[in-house]
Amino acid sequence: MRKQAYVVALIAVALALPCPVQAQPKNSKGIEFFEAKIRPVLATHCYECHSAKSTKVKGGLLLDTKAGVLAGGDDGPVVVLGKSNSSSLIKALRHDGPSKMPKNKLPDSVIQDFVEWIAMGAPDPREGQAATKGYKTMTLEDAKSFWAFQPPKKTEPSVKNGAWAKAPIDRFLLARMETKGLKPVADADRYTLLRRVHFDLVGLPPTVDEIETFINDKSADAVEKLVDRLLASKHFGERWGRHWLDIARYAETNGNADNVPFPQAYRYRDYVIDAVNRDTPYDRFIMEQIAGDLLPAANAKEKDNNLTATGFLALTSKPRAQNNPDFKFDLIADQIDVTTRAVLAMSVMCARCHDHKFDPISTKDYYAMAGIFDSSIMLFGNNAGKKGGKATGYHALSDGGEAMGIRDAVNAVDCSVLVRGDAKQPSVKVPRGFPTALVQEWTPKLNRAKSGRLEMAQWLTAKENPLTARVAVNRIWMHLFGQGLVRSPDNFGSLGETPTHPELLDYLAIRFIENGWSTKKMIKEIMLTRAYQISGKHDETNYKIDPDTMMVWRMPTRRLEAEAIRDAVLTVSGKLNREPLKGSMVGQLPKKKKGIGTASDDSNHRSIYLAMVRGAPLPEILALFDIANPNLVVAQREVTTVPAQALFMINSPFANAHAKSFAQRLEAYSSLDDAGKINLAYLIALGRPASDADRTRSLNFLREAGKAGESQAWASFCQTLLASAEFRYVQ
Amino acid sequence: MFSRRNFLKTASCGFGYMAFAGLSTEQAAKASTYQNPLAPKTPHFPARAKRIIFLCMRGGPTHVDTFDYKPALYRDHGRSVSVQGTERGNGRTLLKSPWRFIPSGQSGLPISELFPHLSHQADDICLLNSLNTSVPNHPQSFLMMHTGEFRFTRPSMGAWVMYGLGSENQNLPGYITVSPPADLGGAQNFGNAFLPASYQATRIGEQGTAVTQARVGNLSSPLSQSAQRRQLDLLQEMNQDLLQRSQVNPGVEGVINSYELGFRMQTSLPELMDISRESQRTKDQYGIGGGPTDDFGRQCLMARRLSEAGVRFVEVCHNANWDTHGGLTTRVPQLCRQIDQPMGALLADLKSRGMLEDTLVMWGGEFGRTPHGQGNDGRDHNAAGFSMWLAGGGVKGGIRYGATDEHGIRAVVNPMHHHDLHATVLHLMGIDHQRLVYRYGGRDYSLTDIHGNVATGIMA
Repeated sequence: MRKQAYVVALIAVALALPCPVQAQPKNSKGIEFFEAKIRPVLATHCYECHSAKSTKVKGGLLLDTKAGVLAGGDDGPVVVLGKSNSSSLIKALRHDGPSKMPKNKLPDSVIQDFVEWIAMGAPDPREGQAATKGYKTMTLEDAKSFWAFQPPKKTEPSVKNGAWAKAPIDRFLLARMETKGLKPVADADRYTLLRRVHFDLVGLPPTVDEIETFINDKSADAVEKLVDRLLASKHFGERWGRHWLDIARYAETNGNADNVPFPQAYRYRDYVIDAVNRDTPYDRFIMEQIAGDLLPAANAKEKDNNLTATGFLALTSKPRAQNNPDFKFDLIADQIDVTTRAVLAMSVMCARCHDHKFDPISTKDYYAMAGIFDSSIMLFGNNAGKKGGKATGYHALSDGGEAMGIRDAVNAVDCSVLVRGDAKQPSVKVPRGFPTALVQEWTPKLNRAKSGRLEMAQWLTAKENPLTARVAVNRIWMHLFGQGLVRSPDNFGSLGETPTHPELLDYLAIRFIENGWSTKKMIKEIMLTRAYQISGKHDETNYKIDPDTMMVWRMPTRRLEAEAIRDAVLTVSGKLNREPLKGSMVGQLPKKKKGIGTASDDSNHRSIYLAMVRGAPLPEILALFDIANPNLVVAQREVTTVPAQALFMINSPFANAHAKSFAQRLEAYSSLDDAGKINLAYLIALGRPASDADRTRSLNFLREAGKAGESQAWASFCQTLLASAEFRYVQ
Repeated sequence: MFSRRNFLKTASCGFGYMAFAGLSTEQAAKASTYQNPLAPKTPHFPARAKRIIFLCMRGGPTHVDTFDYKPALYRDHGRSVSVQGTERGNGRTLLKSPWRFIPSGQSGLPISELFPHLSHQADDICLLNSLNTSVPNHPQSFLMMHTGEFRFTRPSMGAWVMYGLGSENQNLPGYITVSPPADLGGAQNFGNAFLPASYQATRIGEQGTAVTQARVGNLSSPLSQSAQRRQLDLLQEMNQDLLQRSQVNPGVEGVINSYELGFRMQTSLPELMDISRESQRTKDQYGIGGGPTDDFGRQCLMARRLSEAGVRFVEVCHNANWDTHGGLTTRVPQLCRQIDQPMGALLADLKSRGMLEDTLVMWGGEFGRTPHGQGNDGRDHNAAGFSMWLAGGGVKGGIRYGATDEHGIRAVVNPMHHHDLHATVLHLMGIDHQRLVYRYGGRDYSLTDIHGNVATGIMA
């Protein structure tokens, strides 16, 4: 809406003015003028859109406090003190400028009052902070009714076309589609479905054998068998573990000023892969990572597991400790950030310096959590932060190895609020605890003698915590449908998106907890729905109503993640090493950091095992296809399409070499004619047989290339399959 | 070079789908003319600037030490200030600039003594002294500066310009960003969001790496030219086939475009990035050849070469951080030193080639810094008032547009929000910011959304 069109309500209700109790103001004459001439007009004509109580503040301008008037709006100040004619407020009132306020111009005499008032210096007794421009801060009172803070509710969707729905999830989706006039498109064909399930579960394309088995399996539970088989595959953890590593800002070097290696970081990587493969209940998974060192363990192996899990809190990129009085608090800030964003999709870190601008998180909330981490010691090893003489050692493991992590300090302490986050300006001490907005009856009480980290883990994973399960299932959904039900998977706060299907989100959260926080069960339930097995077909009518496929009337086409693209190339070329990497490519490097960025260039291991280096180029293909930045907590990756990717797929030594290997694989099938080889190539690379058009086109190409005497015609053909759009998208 | 012959033959309804949004799919399929999304388009009105070079200074450059001369700040040094809003540091005391401002050029434009080279170009520079924006935090404001929004993913200014005007050179990307930061919103700052993928920037290098190390990799094929052409024809036919099958698939359209562009870039881009062909004199002028000016000098010279070749929108990001909370007296001179000579050379070079009149050069960062000190040698974030500058591209030179209050805290005269800057830049490029809209999810979006006033006062 343009400013001229602001609707300024002329509501007489506003005449019920607030009557402030005033101290004797200095400029009492001016104040009298304000009270008599200005305030009533503001209240009547402006407050509807320009006060903290407005449902929607227009133009970011608040006129209900002195501070607000002086702060101005989105377009800058509205009042130049003493200079009425330069004040855009006057121009707006005169309807002489881009902004014409209010819509029905006020009488000239009233405008003249404003001119005088500004000329006086705009005396104004209304105390109070101007709220942040345009956005209302959520108060603790607001938080009580904010959607994400409510316990999930069970509901029963009602649908007309019940026949389409196979599962409860389908009914939730269909109910919304029906209200919007959308109809689900046809089911996906078997080849498409198989390829989708494969990439979604293990991040690898199906082999020719796997394709044949599935296509020939006519039983009713063929899909279920497929899903079960892949959920049990060791590759599942390599796929879904990577999703978590994005959130855990996993890397094997420190980055920042001192980019030293973390030679032990890989143990955390392996812990995550293993935990995902074992389907460690999600609440337990979080518990181990926040407070594994404080959990009882039945044996040495379990103890090692629990200690290694706490690497989550130590993997951050640390600034140099030298001359940095804030060093300790920088580490704490990261721990608070990764914990709250990973588990709760709430950003608490901004409250380090000031109350959160939008969410109900105060600096006291922040420093209450900070005390918990201040009572713990981050074990980041002997390298990072060395410049400041900080070396912390590791957790010692039973096999003689070491792991990054966290442990309790000897003494538990409360933290002081630091004014503007400045370590040199401590003010009041706050008892250790959790953000007030999320403290309810179920919140565990802290053992004051200990850090409180154990209770923090219990608080995060309490089944009553309204966020944890919702955030987790939303991310599972996102990995299977391309978008979350909440399209801001790392922000469930007031600036985040609201769910497109709140009832479905609640259903999933409740199911998740009922099923013992089992990620595999959740994935399976979603994959066995009709909605997941729908095709990606275009439909003009649906498209016009819902071009973003918010309502899931078809399966959105998704670009494969960087790792899946690389791993698929290796699979197709026959070069993939399917064994897990033992140890770390970074750890195997000599101590100096030179060459760190290319440590894994020649590896044929799955991408999750490649060197994850901060502050240096990541393996090229991964960087080009938008791997998560390991400095950041990343819940959803970006998808870019740029010429550099195209050039990589046709010109890079990597792409050329694997195209050649792929061609050699085909050559080995000497009994097949060219058409047969083409068909096989399509099966291997794209998971489907070649169409007539594909075959004709490919044969023409090979004939032409042959005529020209090209020796690498088959490799060249194979490369087009790897480089094609179809290869890097799942439908 | 890649022949488009076969490609054209197989082109179908996918391209420019939005252009056919009013037609049925069948009709659209019949209208099989290839709609090149990068073809040059006619602006809404005659453009003053045909191309833009944005010199991006991340971190929030201090305006009262560079381009916003505030005599009262020297006078009132030490006085405490009362502020609230989008500037920080209530209760802190005013900190005078450690540097002098020198009246420069015929116009006498006051420019900090830290810019001895740039000040020679003062008569071509239009100082914008009344910038302001919404949030004094880096990532939000950096995104706001680039996309006009920080809460949601929106197309970058460059992507909008590409959408509005297309490219002048079909063998090059129309929008290039050199050394962008990976943080502060990362690729979103040069992304296309919901606009067609072909409008996003091609990245050369990244923040933290010297531009000499920046490569657009994999620019040469091991195949012979004719063999590669055959391969690419086959590849694009496959992609077109997929597009036809899926009908609406912006991702696949993006892939097709990326190959089109990639093929052509194989020859054109290496030539342009190679500054060794420039004369020693030119290199000296830009400060290339080691030393503090080398990196930014190379970036600026590359920018000129790209602009000259018809790249519509070039952004170069100074490979440093202007976030001077501390170390004002040491860091600001270093930062200025790095960019001063290269910027001066860029303006002079564009002028001598007759390009300055239709090339808009823009300098600035996401916000400014407080005239009051943070400690005794630093300044805090200030989004309430700061400075940028424009040169060439049909703007008046030698003027100060807008003003902050007497100390430089808040913009008070002709305040110019990022939205207004966007509206103004688009205007200079012949685009009405209210008319350049894109229908997405049932709503028309524009770069400036509901905001934006064109600063007509700066038009030459």
